[in-house]
Amino acid sequence: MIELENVGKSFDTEESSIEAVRDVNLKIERGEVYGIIGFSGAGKSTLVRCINLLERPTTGKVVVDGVELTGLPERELRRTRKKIGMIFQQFNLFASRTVAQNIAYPLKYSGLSRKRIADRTRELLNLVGLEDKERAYPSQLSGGQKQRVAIARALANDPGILLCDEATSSLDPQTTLSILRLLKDLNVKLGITIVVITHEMQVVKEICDRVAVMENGCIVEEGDVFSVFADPKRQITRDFIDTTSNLSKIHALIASDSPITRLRPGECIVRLKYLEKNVSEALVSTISRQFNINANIIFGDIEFLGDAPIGGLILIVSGRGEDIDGAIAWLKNKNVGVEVISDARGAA
Amino acid sequence: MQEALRKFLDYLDLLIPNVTSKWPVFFRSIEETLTMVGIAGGIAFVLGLALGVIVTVTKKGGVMERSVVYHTLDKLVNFFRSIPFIILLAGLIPLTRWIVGSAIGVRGAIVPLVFGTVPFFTRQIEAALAEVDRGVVEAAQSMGSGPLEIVFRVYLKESVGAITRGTTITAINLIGLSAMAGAVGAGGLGDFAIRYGHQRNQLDVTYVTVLTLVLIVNVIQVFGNFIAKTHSHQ
Repeated sequence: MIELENVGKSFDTEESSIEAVRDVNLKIERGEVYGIIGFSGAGKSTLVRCINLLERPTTGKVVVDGVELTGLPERELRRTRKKIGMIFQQFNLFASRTVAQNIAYPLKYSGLSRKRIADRTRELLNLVGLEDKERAYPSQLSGGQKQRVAIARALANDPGILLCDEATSSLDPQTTLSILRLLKDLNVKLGITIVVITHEMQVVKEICDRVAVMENGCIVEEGDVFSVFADPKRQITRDFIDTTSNLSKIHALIASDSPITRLRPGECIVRLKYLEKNVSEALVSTISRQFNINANIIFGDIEFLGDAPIGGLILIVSGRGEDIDGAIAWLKNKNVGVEVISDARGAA
Repeated sequence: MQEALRKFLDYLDLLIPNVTSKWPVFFRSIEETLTMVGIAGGIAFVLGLALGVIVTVTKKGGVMERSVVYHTLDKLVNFFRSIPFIILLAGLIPLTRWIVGSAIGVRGAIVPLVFGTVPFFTRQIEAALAEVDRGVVEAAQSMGSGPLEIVFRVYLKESVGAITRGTTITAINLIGLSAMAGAVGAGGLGDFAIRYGHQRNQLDVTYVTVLTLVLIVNVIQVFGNFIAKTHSHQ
């Protein structure tokens, strides 16, 4: 378990002091995949470095598995770091060492024999699916393969925690997905706790159990991924959702007077958002039948977070004014978020 | 075969009479140059490497940040780099005498050559180590490596190619400096060329000396390039 208590980190420059992380309190449970999302400059990279003390916090305490790292002498701290793996956006492999030598690097003073180190290296290569690259140099590998080597190297000493600093940010979407799957696999197989730093919503959606949203050095929202993204409290969280959702495109379409958004009198455009995990009910059919209105789906964007759908639909509904009101009330009662985006009912 | 060799030597007598008349002096000059470059270079390599590493790790943001050590060394290196070698040669005479017991001859030239080379080589090493990506050092730290381990297993290991290139440049530079050491009676090829080529106007001596230096420099360069290439995995 990782506990951060009132962690703050400021950097002193010639003229001023920059607070990169402010008063962060976090608890990351053993075995979970925890995401920290924020735009660049939010302080998330500094925050993750505070966990293994690559950056020493200016204030606060860092406790990992009951040991207060901020109170350890340098030597002890180094020993503890062997049990906290870390991977980076730029992979940071040793260019002068082969894949096998890179992976064996952290095993040098572990007391293992040469033979055991070779066995362990091969085992790790298998784990990340690079059995045939043992003798290759990093420069001969693709980005995804480099990150796999970095993961193998980070896991060499059987750490209980893996810190990922923008680990997929320099990879193409397909490779990103394969690395995320690998991470999730390792999480399940080895029970390793994973902390993921990212600015990509997709990463969080794909593998995280819980998420913290970071802005200006502070954690502004935190919780399990579904509740944070189904019902965002902060503008920045909504901004992140918008980065992967089509639903906000409707505003652009209306602004450009797209034909599909032109309303006839009596019609209105509404946005439905799923706020709860069970959307098994036939919402659209029910409102059409029960309230005698027409609902035309313009577009929808529904994704799955774990096994729960998140997202919504944009509809053009037409019918009698009070029937539409009734339908909206019924939907709200079903805990569906309803927002009337444009309304031509009074235009008749 | 022997006939051909004789013909060749006769031809040389015609072409470079002032060199063929003093082969032993010429070969001793080469030997002296190589001795000076070898000994001074060996000492300078060890000292420069150590200083370059110390400067790199004590720098702000380095793995053993020590502001006082860094600034002292930095200024010292700049100080010695500012002194023209010919002045260093004269100025260091008392120190040279104290260290090696004599300020003249090949022995006497070693000390100034080391002083003239170490600051330059320190900067070469500093530049070579600066090529090691900060992120790679950070990765080593995240794996629990201490400063000493990072110096040997990351900084030095990762920059063998760059260090070789810096060493080649420095060695060639050192050959140039060693020619000036003739001024303190250290002998060597520079002294040979000045004494005979210049002062006695035996131009062929100058040409042969230059050709010899070109040859030595090329051997060093080719060897350096070979090592750098075998260690490059970019």
